[in-house]
Amino acid sequence: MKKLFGSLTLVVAFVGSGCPFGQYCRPTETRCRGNTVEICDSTEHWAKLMSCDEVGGEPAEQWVCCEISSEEQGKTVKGHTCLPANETKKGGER
Amino acid sequence: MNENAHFFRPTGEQVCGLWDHMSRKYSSTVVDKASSVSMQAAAWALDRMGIMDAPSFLRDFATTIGKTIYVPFQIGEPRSQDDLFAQLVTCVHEHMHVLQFARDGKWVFGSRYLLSKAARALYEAEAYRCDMEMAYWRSAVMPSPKEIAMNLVHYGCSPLDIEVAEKYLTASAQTIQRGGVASEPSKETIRWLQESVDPGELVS
Repeated sequence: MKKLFGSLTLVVAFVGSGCPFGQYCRPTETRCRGNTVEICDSTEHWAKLMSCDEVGGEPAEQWVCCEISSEEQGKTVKGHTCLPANETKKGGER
Repeated sequence: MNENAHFFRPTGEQVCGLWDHMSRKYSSTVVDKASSVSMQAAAWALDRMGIMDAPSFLRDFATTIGKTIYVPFQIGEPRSQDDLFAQLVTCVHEHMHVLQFARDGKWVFGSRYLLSKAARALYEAEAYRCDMEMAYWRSAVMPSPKEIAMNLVHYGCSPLDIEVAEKYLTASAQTIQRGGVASEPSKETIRWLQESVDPGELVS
């Protein structure tokens, strides 16, 4: 009975904390969710970084969320960002 | 030379014009920070909460509460050579906070900004992205995301929050370098400058 009560308390505490199941992530990690770039914050939850649908500028074109690698101080850094659609067609990874 | 650069040195009149335009567009009010009693109280409170030291808060930072922007300078009056463009960037940055307040609502925005270092880091990263967009629009040179993220030390953010902000700005830089502008106040400012400033002034 004690065990059951303990387990129930744990479940209620977890649900009550408002933490959605399966939403945890590693801080600084990024991902594409639809056409939105998301970043994992320091509390290990996903947050919006930018919506590619809202990116404007010149030249006016469609922007899409995709994975990108860049060289920084001799290291390859992977992440996600919004790129022009024509650039992703040339070999970008979605 | 990058053909996208504008090498723009705004006049005091143009900076005042932009502040007027953005205040009308986003229904914001601009107040002189030094003469505000509420800012003196905020400086004391932020100091006590360990978020930022009081003299630095009053002297070096513009502050936005709701739709009121408290500025530590006289708009249109430069204190140094490049100060007028800095005032223009401050206008864009602070209007991003006005937009965040309107978008998330006063209770959500206020509580998250004050109580969560992680949320504060992301709100500031979003506003600092405006600084990067305007700097790149002007010179086609990207400021260092790492150096910009380090500003969050003054906001009481943890090293991990700063690392997240740096990653946020690095990802944004990739879009900006390809001509993308993600932030609404930056888009509005660039539109206003293109319509209001003589095109000859936008080219070196």
